[in-house]
Amino acid sequence: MDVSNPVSDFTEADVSRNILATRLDALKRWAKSGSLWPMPFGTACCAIEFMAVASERYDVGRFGSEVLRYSPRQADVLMVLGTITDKMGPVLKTIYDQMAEPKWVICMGACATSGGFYRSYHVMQGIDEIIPVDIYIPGCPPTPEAVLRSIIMLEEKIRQQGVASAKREFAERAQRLHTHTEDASVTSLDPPSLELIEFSTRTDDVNLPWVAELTNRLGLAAIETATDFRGDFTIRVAPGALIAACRLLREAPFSMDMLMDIAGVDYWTRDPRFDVVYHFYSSTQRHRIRLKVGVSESAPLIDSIAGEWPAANWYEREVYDLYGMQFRGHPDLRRILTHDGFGDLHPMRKDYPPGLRQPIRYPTEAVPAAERSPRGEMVPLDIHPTIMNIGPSHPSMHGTFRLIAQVDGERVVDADVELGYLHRNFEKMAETHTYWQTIPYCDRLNYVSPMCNSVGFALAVEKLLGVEVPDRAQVLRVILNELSRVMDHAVCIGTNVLDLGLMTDYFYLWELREQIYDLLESCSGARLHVSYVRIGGFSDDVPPDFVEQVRRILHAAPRILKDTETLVTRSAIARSRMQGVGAISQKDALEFGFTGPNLRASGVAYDVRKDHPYSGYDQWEFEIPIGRQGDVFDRYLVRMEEMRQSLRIVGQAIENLPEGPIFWDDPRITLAPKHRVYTNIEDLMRQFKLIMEGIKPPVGEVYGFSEAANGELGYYIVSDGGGRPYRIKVRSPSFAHYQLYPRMVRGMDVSDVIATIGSLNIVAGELDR
Amino acid sequence: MILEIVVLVVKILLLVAILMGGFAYTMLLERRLLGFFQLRLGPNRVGPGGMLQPIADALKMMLKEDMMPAGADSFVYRLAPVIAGFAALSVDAVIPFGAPIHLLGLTISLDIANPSIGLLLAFALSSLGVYGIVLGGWASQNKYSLLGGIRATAQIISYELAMGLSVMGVLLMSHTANLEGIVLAQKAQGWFWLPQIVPFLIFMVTAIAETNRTPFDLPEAESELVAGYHTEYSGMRFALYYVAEYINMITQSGLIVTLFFGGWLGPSFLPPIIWYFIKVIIAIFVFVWIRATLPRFRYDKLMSFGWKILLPIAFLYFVGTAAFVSGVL
Ligand code: SF4
Repeated sequence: MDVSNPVSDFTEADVSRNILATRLDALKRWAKSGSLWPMPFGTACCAIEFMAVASERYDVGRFGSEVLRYSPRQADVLMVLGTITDKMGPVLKTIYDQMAEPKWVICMGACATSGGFYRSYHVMQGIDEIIPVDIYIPGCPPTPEAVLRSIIMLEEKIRQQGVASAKREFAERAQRLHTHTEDASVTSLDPPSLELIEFSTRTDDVNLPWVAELTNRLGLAAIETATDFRGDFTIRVAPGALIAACRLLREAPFSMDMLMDIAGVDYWTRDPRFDVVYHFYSSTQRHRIRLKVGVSESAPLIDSIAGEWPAANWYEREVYDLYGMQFRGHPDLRRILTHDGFGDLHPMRKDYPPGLRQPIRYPTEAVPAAERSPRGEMVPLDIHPTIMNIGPSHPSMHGTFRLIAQVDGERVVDADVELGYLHRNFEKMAETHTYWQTIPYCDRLNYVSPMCNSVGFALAVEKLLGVEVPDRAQVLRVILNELSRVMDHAVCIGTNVLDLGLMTDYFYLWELREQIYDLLESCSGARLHVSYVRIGGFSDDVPPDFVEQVRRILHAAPRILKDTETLVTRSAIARSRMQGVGAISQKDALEFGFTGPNLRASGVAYDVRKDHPYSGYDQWEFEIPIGRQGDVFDRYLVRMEEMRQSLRIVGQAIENLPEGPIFWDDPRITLAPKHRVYTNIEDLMRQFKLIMEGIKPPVGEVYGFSEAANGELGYYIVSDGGGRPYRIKVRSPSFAHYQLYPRMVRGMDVSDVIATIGSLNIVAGELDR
Repeated sequence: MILEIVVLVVKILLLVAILMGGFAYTMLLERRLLGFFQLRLGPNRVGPGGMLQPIADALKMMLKEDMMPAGADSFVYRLAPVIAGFAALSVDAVIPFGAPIHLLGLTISLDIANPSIGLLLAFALSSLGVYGIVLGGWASQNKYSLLGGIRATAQIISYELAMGLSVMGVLLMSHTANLEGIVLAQKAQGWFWLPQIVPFLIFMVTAIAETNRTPFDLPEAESELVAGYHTEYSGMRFALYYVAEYINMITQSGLIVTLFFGGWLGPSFLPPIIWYFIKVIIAIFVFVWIRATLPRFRYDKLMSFGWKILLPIAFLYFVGTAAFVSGVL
């Protein structure tokens, strides 16, 4: 033995002791790596893919990781699934701090890793700004296989890591944080073209049916202008006449009974600088009207119509939040989407750089001294009745909703909701991208059924362009749209009953979803965010075995629905949890702008597919199911029946799928086929122009709407004739549904609160946008 | 005398070992079964066929940091899981899991104690477990935990009475409260589940409630109360609650088998103890099956179910049995 070798100083005893120690250490590492219980911190679309990972096809349970612990104390690995906004940051940090050692973090998806393609004012550019990450999974969303791989990688990491390196790593955790500097790609936005300004203040008096009536009743001075563009009627009223006009609209002959949306638009070189745009709809007469009011920059004051139209409450808050308009007489004018760090800044204003984030305050004390009550005040912790924060990180709040409930025992006496935890600035992003580039953002609105959103968007832009897609594309859109609806309803029902404690049905329904995923994947290459639709058609034709695949789904679906029927509809316990719970009257539903299955469950047979058929829905036979009570059970039944009807539509459409082109061949709108691009200079130019500059629709504004899975999804698009939309406002069904929620839950038990939110199927992506 | 003490100690150690092993593998069994019901696989990676999964889980729990929330009542917070674990383990002391065996000239009955009021003792001990839940929920200083604890109290008062009444028929038929006696009575009269079919079903329902499992998992109601009464518990203490829950399930299965399915009785080609365990495993399977199939009750629905349905039925059947046994009918 070489005496100079320090290793030789070890005695036999040392060695054996160390062997024991290493053995023990290896055992510990084995145990830790073999039992990684995740805490899913799901906020967005990645969480949907994680649900697939937990379901039968992939089954994270094989690693022993199916024990999802929603209490951070009991979890080993924090799985961050989806976009983390600045508003969510403090929540995520708190959860991480509350976890017991040893703990790891897996960060799923481009958003959590780096902000993804949301280089925007409200999105954290990577969660390693605040918590140390062990494994990053790339992808948007990552495939389930990648997620399984990440668990294997984490296991390997734990197994290989010695005690010393684990300790070092613990000490160095803080150093693993990165601060991300402001995004350099922030561009200043173009001012509106003169044409747009003229369009938005046009003085030509179109002879519209109602203008005369309105002028008669309100006086000549009240109506400034009226336009008719692509069938959308817009009436500009004087600020002083707004309330009177809104009141009048309720009466015949207008008979407007739904306030669909309120949007702000910033024409920053014009005076008055802003427009506030109101969209009304009459469910009895089936027509729409758009009111506009100008608001100047120096005195951004406007009357609140929340007294006339209760649904205006949140819409006005949103306009205030994003544009800074003060609504006179508004009951509760607070920020709604963005976090408080914005002070007096309003990020949707055109002069606000899209990527400029505001600093956020992270909690420093372990136990805060006061908390927020539903009325918005800070109250002491021991107040009675006590305050309960349900969400945003709560298993049934789907990651991003927060219900601030004042509870007496289990009974909710007062409640308010906080949203915006997933406000990732779709609208601002759309303004900085071309129409095409907006499609992937649209997919991520209602990320449970992405196809419906992008089809809706394409329809809206096509309306603006005045084109209609070829027959084959229309039928394909119908098929994929309806399958997406089935997929959305399946998840809604599955999670709703999961919230009621029934686990198994969720997995059965998920199998249906997986089959549709297979189809979408074979069409577009992606499972979830397909980005398959193009303005003017589709990006590519469907694969040759498309018809067969669809037939297979049609064959398998009824059996799965029957299983659900057995497990839920026929279960006395399930019925007792759903019947009579969370009932919404027809009046309330209309008043708050409910659409889709939630409205139909309350007994109103409004469905865009029937009432304003698009994409050739009128050629197919289907029925609109309606409910009677509007309770959780009715919503469930309506969704079940809608799935059947959707399958019925698909069954007809697939047998009548016409041949032909799948996009509108127009050099200004769609790309030429690749082989032509490579062989012919005109098509090369066409490709270049469209990619670099984008589609340039005419100056004008439209409201394009379609029946998405959750209800009427509307896109209000203002075009200044340029390659990027000047303004897109999304009218998301969830926003309307969620507004009523705090009122609904008053007087309910906590259990019913949970049952109700699941049945409304609010999706954070389209709620917060 | 010394030999008896030794035998007793060995029996206790053996029972605890069996129960802990039973707990671990019941949990694995449940996870695999749930996988089976849900078209999944369930744990199959850790060790051959996933057989070492529970060991890894248990070790990991021990290695995990033990946290106590600021503002928690530290004494009660520490005590509560111990109560739950103790209550769960101790019930099994009175359940005989095999016919007495003869060894070294001694007759060793396969239970630790064989009091004449065995059944009452089992009931008393198992209802102690709810204290662990209530106190844990209260001491955690967490609103979700507190609600879980409160729910546990409401739940226990609504099913315990029906549970107690449902076994009265068995007592009447076997003329004893001694569990071994009950088994022996079934040897003579046939298993009790058939004559006592209604009380058996009631007992089954209430046993699920006793173990806080779906559809009666209100105290921990994951989708409502995050993790209910043990939201704030981590590491070993949390593990203890887990242990308690699963051992409770084994215990209740044991009680069902003993009271209604003839305990260790069975055709003689298998030893009695094996029969006992086979029956227990079948009962556990039913527990898991129910968990996979049913949604959760609501608080008030559970209370009215317990008071307005289970209790009167149990009572009527009890009166009927009494009339029958005493020869009035
Ligand atoms: S956009 Fe959605 S799918 Fe893509 S990384 Fe972000 S959360 Fe995941």
